[in-house]
Amino acid sequence: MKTPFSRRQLIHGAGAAAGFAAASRLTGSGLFTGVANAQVAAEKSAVLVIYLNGGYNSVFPSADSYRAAGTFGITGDNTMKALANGLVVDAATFGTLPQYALDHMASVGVRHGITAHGAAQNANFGDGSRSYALRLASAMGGDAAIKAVQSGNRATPGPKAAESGVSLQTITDMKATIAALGGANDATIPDRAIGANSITAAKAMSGRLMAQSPGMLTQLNEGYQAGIATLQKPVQMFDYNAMATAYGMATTATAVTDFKSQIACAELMITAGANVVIANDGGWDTHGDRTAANVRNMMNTRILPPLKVFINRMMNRPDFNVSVAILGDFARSLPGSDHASAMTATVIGKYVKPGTTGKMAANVQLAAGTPSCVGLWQYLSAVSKTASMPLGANPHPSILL
Amino acid sequence: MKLSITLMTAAAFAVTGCTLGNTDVTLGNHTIDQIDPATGLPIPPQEQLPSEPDEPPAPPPRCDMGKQYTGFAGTMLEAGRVDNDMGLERARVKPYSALVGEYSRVLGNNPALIGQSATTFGQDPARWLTEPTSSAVTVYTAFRVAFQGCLTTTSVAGSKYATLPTNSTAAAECGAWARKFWSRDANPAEIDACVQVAMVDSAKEGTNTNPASSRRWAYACASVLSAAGFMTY
Repeated sequence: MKTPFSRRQLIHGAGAAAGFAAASRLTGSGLFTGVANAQVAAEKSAVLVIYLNGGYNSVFPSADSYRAAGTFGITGDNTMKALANGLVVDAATFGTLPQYALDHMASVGVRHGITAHGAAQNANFGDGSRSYALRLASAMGGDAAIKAVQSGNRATPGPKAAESGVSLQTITDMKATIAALGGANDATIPDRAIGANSITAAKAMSGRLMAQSPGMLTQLNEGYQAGIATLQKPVQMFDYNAMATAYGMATTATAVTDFKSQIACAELMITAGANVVIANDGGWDTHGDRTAANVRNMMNTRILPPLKVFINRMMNRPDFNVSVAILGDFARSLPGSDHASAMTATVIGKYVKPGTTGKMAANVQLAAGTPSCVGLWQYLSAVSKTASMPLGANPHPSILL
Repeated sequence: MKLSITLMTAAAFAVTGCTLGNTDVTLGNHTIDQIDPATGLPIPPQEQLPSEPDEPPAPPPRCDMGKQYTGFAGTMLEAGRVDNDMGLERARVKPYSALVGEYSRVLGNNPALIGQSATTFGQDPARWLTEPTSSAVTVYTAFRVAFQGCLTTTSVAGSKYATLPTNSTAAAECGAWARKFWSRDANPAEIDACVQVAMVDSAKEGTNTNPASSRRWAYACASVLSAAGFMTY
């Protein structure tokens, strides 16, 4: 593909080619800056984790489990969509996803045996002291300054101690983020190199307080480090207008305040080189939702519209290997949509082989021997083609290409 | 009666180890095994008497973590509480609502960017408080705000910042900023870090007087203003 170069872009492009392959795919002029170009040497892997706080009804990834009894609204064959290798999803929701997703989707069983929200959330994200997401983000490598992101203010459960210098960075405003990445045209922005040195000095001047409050100031300390690293990277340019328009957002709206903006932010950060982005959404503790009408409505009105945009823009690209994982505390039990003791996650990705290891029984139970929480992250490591497999071998080989 | 009182007093002394002022801790430990024939006095023991071990330092005062509570979901409510020495872990990052006023308080001007950064820092709804989160973006944005405010200060025509910094003027100004921004004196290493910004790191801004001088001063000022001494309370 031939892309027009300006002198400035050429300089930036050279830097990007040396260090940051995914920096600048977006083209066109926009709110923040104009065109950049890509010199992509290899496929960039990334994982977007969509966490439904409260629970993830298994009617979405295992719809046929409920056909015989007609529970959770699976009252006819037309309420299900059969995909490959025994995978059957809910027709009204997941059945409407882009064809690429339907061809690259699997259901992954997580038999964690936990029915309490807090315990399940912690187990889904870590082993008690170490974060699966940060270990994965660290092992995936790359030279992006920000490798692990929480998109939006809603807190990510589980441990968050940094892994080999990779910490979870919260992004709540894309305009400020683009400015930090260097993609904003603003004369009041300080010089990046001097800024990096000045923040280095600020960090040094903070040493006394950091030593006295190492725990309370962990995030600030990590923020200094990541901020310095961000400014030391080559400038990255983004066409925010095009991205915002694609997600149905106003081009002047940059705050990450809802699920739509969380997914747009995920695209921004993955494009900027992040390895793992977590988007948390609330309201999924859906007691009494016996026909799953409530969760279908939330899925169709809030989750899937921006997710479809993300899939179309980010997932079928030769330069990226992006996987999306959808999970929650646990599945919803029957008959009252309460707390089940297991969960079936959905994973969509380039190296996902359609199929299921999370077929629920009619009583919302997974088969004995189904792996627990870490198994899902081991699988995500595998579909991300992470060389070191930091969490262990993939226990779901049947759904890996 | 008198005998009872005497016996009770003796028992009390025995229990408490009271020696009534006798400080010879080896009293009663001398063994008279051999007599020096020359002097007729007992030969003192050859081996060193064991010395008293040093008292271990008193542990710093700590909070008693108190009672355990089990929540409705079976979660231990005290899980995650920090059990730590007193006096540590007291610094907290200033929330956005505080930062808005803090820049104008210490600088005498209100950087416009801080007013546009509510979502970056995460402004809480009214009557609501969540612990502020810091990230690369908040740190960088704070630095931008600081630079903007500092540049306003250092760009005033005819001010002392119209002259390029020197090692001595930079050190003096860095110390003054630290006192103003952090409400404490900077130590030499902290002043050195600030001077480094003014004299070396920002040198590419040039060696002319304004605007180069005001920008070099502003970078140094912003580095002090972006340190934890200002960003936390």
